[in-house]
Amino acid sequence: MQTVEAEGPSIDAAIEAALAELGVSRERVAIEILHDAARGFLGIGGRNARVRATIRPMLDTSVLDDDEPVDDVPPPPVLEADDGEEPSPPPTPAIAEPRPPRDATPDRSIDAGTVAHAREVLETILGHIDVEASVRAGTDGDHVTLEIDGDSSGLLIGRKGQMLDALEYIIGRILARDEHRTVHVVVDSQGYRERRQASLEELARRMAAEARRRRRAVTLNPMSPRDRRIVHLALQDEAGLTTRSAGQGHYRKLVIVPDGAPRSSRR
Amino acid sequence: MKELVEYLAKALVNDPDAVEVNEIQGDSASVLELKVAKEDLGRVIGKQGRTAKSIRTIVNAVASRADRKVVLEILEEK
Repeated sequence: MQTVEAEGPSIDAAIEAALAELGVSRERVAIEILHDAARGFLGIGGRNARVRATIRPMLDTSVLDDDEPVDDVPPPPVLEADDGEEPSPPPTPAIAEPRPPRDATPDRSIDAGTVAHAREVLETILGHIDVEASVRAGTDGDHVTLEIDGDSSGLLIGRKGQMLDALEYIIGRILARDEHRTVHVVVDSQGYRERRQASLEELARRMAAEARRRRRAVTLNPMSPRDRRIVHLALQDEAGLTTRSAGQGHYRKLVIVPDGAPRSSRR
Repeated sequence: MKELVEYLAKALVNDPDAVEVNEIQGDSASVLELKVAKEDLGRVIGKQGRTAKSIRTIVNAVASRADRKVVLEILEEK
């Protein structure tokens, strides 16, 4: 697996730099954002955004079909191994062929058709909304990722990201109808999801410190499953406290319980 | 706006031909009546109304750019 780290004045610029270094297109790599660019204070302490890009080996067979332009980089070693197992289809396939890896998990895998379809749906919606924006589509293994570039108004993010959530839910439902299975879709614009994650992690640390200081359980405001997951993960390795969720549906809240908290506040 | 709702509805339902959208314009608000086949009501409303809510979120975001309000009504075709 090939990995590089790159920097730039913005996350997009850093991603571009990483892609240039790897010599592949955006669809071929998983991007991990190490940190966003910070302007600093009074011109001091600013830093570049930094990302880690990893070429996804499994995509070569499952995502890049014939209609997708393949970059002229040598395929990762994993692919060659796959090719060895896969005999070219004989004219009359009498014997059962070994199935390509994607058939092993038919429900989750995302192929190029699904990615293209998701992109088309989003582009059609954007066309109707009449915003100047372009879509970068890809997959992270078990879900489709759609990134909207160019909308600076924040219209597509909405209050607390609710527009992004609405878009990804609708697109997921549309794909579900057409493909007769569940397809997970993540829609992002201007790095909102990453920023949201960073601010939730910050909140998690603050509330964890508060819980420890008061030696009492601290309950956060109701949050979506996605947001709760971020907080749970942010605190999972913290010693001296546990996290759990309480309540139902939209009212479900995350509770941070420090060790030794009074029993009444633990329940 | 009407075209957007029509596109979304048709992409969600099993019977796209039954989808019909009427827009009733008011001064600062309009009503969009979305009609779908009875069997498809669940598809445009969704579990706990999530699909309908998502459509409304998108429609309202777009409408707010023009300082308008849009009410989306979902009706059963005949």
